[in-house]
Amino acid sequence: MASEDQVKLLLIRPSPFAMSCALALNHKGVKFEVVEENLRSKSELLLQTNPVYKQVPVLHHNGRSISQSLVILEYIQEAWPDPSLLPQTPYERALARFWADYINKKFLETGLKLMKRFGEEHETARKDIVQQFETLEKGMIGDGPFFLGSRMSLADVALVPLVPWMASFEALGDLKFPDAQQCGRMHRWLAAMRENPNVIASVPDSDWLLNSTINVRQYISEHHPGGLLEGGV
Amino acid sequence: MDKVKVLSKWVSMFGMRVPIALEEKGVKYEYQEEDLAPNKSDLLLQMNSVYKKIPVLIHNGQPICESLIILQYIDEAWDYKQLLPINPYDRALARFWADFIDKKFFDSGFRIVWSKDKVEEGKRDMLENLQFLEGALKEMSAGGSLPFFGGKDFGFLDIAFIPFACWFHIYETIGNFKIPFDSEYPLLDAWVKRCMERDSVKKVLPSPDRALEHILQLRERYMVG
Repeated sequence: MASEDQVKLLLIRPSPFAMSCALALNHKGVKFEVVEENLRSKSELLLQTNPVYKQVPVLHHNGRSISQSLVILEYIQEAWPDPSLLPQTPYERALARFWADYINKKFLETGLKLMKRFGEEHETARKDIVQQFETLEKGMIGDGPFFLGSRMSLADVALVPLVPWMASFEALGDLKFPDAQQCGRMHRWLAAMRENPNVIASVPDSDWLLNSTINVRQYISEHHPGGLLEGGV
Repeated sequence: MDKVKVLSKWVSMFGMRVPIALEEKGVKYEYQEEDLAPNKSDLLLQMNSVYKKIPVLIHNGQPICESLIILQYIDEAWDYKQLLPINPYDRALARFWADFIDKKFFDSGFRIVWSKDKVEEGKRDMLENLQFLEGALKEMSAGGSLPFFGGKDFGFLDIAFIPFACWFHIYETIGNFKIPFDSEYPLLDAWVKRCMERDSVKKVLPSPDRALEHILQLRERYMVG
């Protein structure tokens, strides 16, 4: 790709999906501009370039925009192919996609429910998130430390939000994820991700996120007592 | 010698995508019809232990799950006559709209068929979602001058959406409304008729009446009150 590439990522800092997009770009060594959005007052740029969902993250590349985080991740993989975030064989690529999809639509969705929902839905989310953590443990392949083996793939990129969010999930859900004895592979994954420089550059500080998350939940309980269904705050 | 097996349900719009893609690629496969719980086969439960759902593609003993992921797998494992476009942006558009179909469009239909109190909002959302898809088709077919979502060629997004063609009759009957294809979605209307002439689609899609009868029976059995 030309060194004249203009790449912008519209996001809010706590967004798990934005963290994944940032990691994919950093992994590929792509320089990009971060545009922070205020979801209570969405910018014209956001509304124009994501008219269907009006959500972050949105990736802008040389005037074109792409939204929906897994679509963005596949685009990043294809627009900047090296270093690759997908294995070589069709079967392993399908595995990477399967787990990225599971992480997005199950695990991270449950995590967001821990933040945004109350009552019975919150109770269900507390139980689900631990079960899903265990499903991920069983899904990981070989010795790792990454999801599919020795190299990072879309599955790891999708799961990167767990690195800063883990403390928040535990606080919000008043729970403890299984420890290294019970889920050794997940904890080895966490350790490897925590020391990866591209990961460090792509996620906010865990304490900052915990504070932000608590504030958001407080805001929701005051302004949307039934819990928030869609969108961010 | 490739061994290809498909676990699916004849009436599932997600299930239909897989044999259509295999037919388009000229790949020989064995088809196994699956029942609902508690009669799901051991093979299904083993091959898709995470979701326990169809469709599943089993290729030389290895399972691939989730219909859109299966389509991409089929495109890569049999890499001639590509289903996805060539350049990254067009591929992103195709994936975006396929995801929209799975999240938004399917959900609006689901509310019409399976909810009691969300039918009207399901209908409203479906009409809005069809508006988006009409717009997408217009963009991707160069204003209607090309025949498919894939442009010149029947591709990934066409395969993702065409199974819904036999479900419109179900939505209209249960929702008690007519989807204004002629006046509001003329490109989609022409696209459906065009796709229905393809051998792969003719072979795989059930008749709308047969699908309706089956879904009405299921509703009778499973919906309370």
